[in-house]
Amino acid sequence: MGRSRQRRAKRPGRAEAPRGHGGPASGAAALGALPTLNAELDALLLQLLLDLEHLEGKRAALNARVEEGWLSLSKSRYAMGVKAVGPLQYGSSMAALFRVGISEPEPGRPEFQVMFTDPKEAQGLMEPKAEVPFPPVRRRRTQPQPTCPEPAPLALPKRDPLTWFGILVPQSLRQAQGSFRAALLMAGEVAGLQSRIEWGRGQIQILLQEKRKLLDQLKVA
Amino acid sequence: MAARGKLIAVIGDEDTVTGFLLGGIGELNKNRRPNFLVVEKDTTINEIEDTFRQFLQREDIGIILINQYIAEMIRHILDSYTNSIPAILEIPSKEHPYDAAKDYIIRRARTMFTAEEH
Repeated sequence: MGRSRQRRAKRPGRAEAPRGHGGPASGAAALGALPTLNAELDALLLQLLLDLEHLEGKRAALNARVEEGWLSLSKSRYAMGVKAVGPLQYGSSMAALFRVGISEPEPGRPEFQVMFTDPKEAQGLMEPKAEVPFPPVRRRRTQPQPTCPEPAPLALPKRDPLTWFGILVPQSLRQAQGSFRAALLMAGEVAGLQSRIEWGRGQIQILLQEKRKLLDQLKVA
Repeated sequence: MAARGKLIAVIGDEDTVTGFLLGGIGELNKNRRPNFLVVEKDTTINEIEDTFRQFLQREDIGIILINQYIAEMIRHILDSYTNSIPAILEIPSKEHPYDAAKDYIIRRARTMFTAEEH
């Protein structure tokens, strides 16, 4: 009550502001907050556009790797037979060699990191390497493949999916494995970018709502 | 499980699933529930929906890879999906190349740049 009397005393010609909106004081506050809000909005929008651009690049790379993998699989089928590479060869027991680690630097914005499961961890579950009672079959070591991304660390024969397709597999099948493993690593990056874009979108929507409220306050004031 | 990380699931055609399993993401857990689904000509949309929903509810799956043409069949589920984990990645298939305009992330991001936002 006292404040409104003071306001009328200072500005006798001004109509009293409707109750609940705060009047000129809130309008001044809204005017002061608007540039900061606009700057935040601009920064978030720019970051969103950058993330979208990065996502497009990563997606193109991921898709290229997958297509490389299909081509290599087709070559393998040509060498081994059409029915020799397919669901009929899947192992009866499987343990994932690649897993994804998830961290949340900010709430609602997870980051994904695809990683190769430590073969030593598998050794802890199985017999030690030197004592594995395999039949006297030579274990192939992955050879350098210049046309493929760097090969994944050597997996124990029992866990390596290549063993589903026979003891001696063509080089094209190893290349296919390399391509799909590279695609998996990129999938983690793409997932992280997607979550960042979704998070940014949510933040922009929140700030836009705040901006609308501020603009409404300014209109009233 | 938390120390070892989460699994990557895949729903796709034979080549896509075979390729990623060859890469080493396949797992058959003690309940014999796989983290993959091979979609063939006689696979029904209900099967795809059920599998997808199961993957969404599993706590041990961090990323779901799905061929885009299969994602189109269950677009209604994808459009209503708002969680960040598991992440869903649409990937091309041999017969259907990737179309960014159909990707649910890109479509949502587009809505930020419509005139009505200002």
